[in-house]
Amino acid sequence: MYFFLFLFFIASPCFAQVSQGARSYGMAQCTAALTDPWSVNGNPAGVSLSGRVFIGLSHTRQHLVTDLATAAIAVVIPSHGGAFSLSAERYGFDSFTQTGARLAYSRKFGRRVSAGLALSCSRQAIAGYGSELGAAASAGIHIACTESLTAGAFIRDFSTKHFPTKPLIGLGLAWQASDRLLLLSDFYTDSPEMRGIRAGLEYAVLNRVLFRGGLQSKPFVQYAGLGWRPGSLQCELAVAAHPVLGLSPQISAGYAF
Amino acid sequence: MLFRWLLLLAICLVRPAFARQAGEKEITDVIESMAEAIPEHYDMSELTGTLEYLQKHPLNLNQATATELKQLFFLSPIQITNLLAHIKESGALLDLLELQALPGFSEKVIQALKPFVTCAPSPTQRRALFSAGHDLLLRYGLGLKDSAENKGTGSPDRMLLRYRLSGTGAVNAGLTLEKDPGEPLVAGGAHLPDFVSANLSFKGNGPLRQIVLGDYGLQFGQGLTMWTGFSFGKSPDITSTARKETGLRPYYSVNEYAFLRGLAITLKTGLTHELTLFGSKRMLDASVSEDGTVTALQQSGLHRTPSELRNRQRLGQLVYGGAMQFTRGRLEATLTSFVTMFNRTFAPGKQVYELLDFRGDKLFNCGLAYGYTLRNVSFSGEVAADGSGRVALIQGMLLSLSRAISLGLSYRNYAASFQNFFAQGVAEGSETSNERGLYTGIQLHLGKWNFSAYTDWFSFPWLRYRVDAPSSGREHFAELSWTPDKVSRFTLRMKTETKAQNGSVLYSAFPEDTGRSNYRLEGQWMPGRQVTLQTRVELSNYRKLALPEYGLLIYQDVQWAKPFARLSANLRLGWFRTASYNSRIYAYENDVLYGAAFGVFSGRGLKAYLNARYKLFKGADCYFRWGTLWRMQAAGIDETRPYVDFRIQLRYLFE
Repeated sequence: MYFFLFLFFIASPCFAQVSQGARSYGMAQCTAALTDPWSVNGNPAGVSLSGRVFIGLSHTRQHLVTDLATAAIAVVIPSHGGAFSLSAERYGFDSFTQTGARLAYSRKFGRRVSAGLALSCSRQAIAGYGSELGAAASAGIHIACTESLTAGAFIRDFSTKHFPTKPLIGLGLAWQASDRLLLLSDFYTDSPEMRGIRAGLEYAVLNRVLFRGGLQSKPFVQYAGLGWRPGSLQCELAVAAHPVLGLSPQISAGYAF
Repeated sequence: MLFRWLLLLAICLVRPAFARQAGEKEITDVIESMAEAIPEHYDMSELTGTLEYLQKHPLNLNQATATELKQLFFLSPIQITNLLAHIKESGALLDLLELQALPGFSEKVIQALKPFVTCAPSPTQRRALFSAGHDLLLRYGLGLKDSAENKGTGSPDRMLLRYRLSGTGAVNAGLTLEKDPGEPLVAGGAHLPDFVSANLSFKGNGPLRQIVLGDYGLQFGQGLTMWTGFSFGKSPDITSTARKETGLRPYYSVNEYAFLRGLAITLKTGLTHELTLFGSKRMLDASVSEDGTVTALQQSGLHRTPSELRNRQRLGQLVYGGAMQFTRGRLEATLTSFVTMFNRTFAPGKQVYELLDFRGDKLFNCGLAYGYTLRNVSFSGEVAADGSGRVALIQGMLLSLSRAISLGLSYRNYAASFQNFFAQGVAEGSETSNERGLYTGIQLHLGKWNFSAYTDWFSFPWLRYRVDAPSSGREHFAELSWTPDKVSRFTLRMKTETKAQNGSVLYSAFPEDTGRSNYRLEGQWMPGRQVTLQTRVELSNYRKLALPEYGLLIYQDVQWAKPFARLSANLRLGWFRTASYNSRIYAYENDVLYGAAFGVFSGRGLKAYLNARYKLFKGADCYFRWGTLWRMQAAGIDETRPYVDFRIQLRYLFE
């Protein structure tokens, strides 16, 4: 157990415990300009506004360690002019847990602009040391520069008090280069020491099968993913490869009603 | 009317000149990107020579084989497969612009291809026995300063005589005589210069495809088993991650190590397969200890000092083996196997990092390589093994995501103790062993904008020179270029690399991460048809722990080439300042024909050079180079004389 605590403390900047679905995970967690139901945990402006109800589940196993896992659920409910989305997740093991929930509202402003706001609360508990509760806010915007190019920016988990995860700022571009190809690139920072670039792509190798890949510059992490979308079902599998800490796979499944 | 005809003629002549520059830029980019990985004295004339030859004898696309097309290094396996499939299905190409309709062929690729190919509709005909031109090249160079070159036992001048009988005929031949600076004019008590290379070759259309007697080179598979001569490593051009084997080729270069000497023959043993058999016996330079064992091979080919002369040709090497190449549709496979034997036993040094080096006097190697193209994806790979069963593996994929976007992936895993004297796999280190890595690259061609980037993660499971622990590192590269019109181009480039190196403190427990970054801004402008201006600013950064240091290089190039004029020239003026050798900067330098070099700039100083070419008469050209390097101290110009290198070259082509 102490080993897990040690691993957590040395490696905590290396992964975000916020689950954004295996689709963005396979693309190096580029979420600034991505449109996806799981964007409730990334840039809330990117929550899909397709008018369909969505429900999804996700499970991540950090570094293939049985006890270090993140489980998450996300729900999107369309409403007049926008969409409400809700997510909840749990990360940790017996002696250390982070649990959180997030509620977001997203809507369009004209043809080109969409924006979103989110409120989140999180509880962090360490066995023998008690627990702490925190609240934070997130906001984001998407601007469709052209029909195929979207720019996005967001700040996540901004809080005046202590919050288990650091505020994350992301700026990015999404380019739908063809019917089959999506390219993403993000600049991200959560502290002066931890800022870098992420890049990812999604390629529809067959009509319902998608390959994904991505890279993050700091810390250097490589990502790969596979998506299978039969009808309204969305099955995603992704893995992150850290040069020292090893592989962290994530699986997510969702259904759009 | 006359004016119009002249104008048309001028356009026809000038357009290929533009295209040629595009081709040269490709070579320049690749050479610069590899500068740090290439040994200091590596001769790159083999590469430039191949392209020069193709400029003079363009490849007929309608008759070219896959192996011949692979000489054009900037073509990807997908492009080659698509081109051959198109000709097979639709018949001969009438114009190069037809390629625009093929997947993977952008305008940029066609422009780069133009100087080296034709689309002649000539039917297949028997190759004439003798249809070759004579190519005679004479070069003399001199470095004017006290340097290692001048401290040798011989004169400080560099001399080269090369004769080549080559063309479209079946019989070709070549003879090369060379003396490096500091080497005696005649070596080893013989009456011949230090380096002599010759070959006689025959190329046929029947079962006997090629036979070479003398010096030759072999390139098979992905380079893990048998690959001599130049090879591309990691580069901005992602297509170069998939090696293009060229099989057996006569050797005309002046690199004194990377070739074989003996007899090699390629036979067409069936409709889908070819067999190459080769045998080679030659002497190599090596350091030999008192007990007669070999401690190190010397690959520089330099024999200037008494110790270099003592090590000259001290090790006998015998190589024999074969390669079977199989092609069927979109699949190609190559099986290579050979034995390397030495007349002395290898007993490498006692340092811990040398423990896994080769020992003994005999080595067996074999490898199986393949290439397969499926729609817009090309796969290539090779697995190689040595006599002890240690394995090296490489697997690559090139994916054409859309007409404008390509993606390349390559994974390599070379066992720490894998041994092969002829392996040249894509690697971060200088050897094809002790390495694992994953390369990912992307290229975007978006009209006037081009973007290419790659990242490479690598790890070394065993110790290396100056790294006393298993280590890992990464390299990132990105380049954005903008071509607003036909006469100007701007490029922004970034390259950063992090690798482990022993700590600065003696007996440091762990190697430290050492970073090196380069940032480059370059502008190219053609104010007229005759003049090209190029300006470059490059900043380097070296950091080890908390001690960053910087370097800066600025240079201005002027090229002048007037159509029909006898004289053409290019000039460079450069200034550099780096904190130390650690923050050094590499820059490609123009040279006389077949000569190519990159300057390594460290310290503080000025660099200038002038290259000129003068057409004496039909077929005869005279080349001239004058380069000067001033190194300055803090107070001003150093009192010692500047380093001057001077070169003159005559080339005569006749039928």
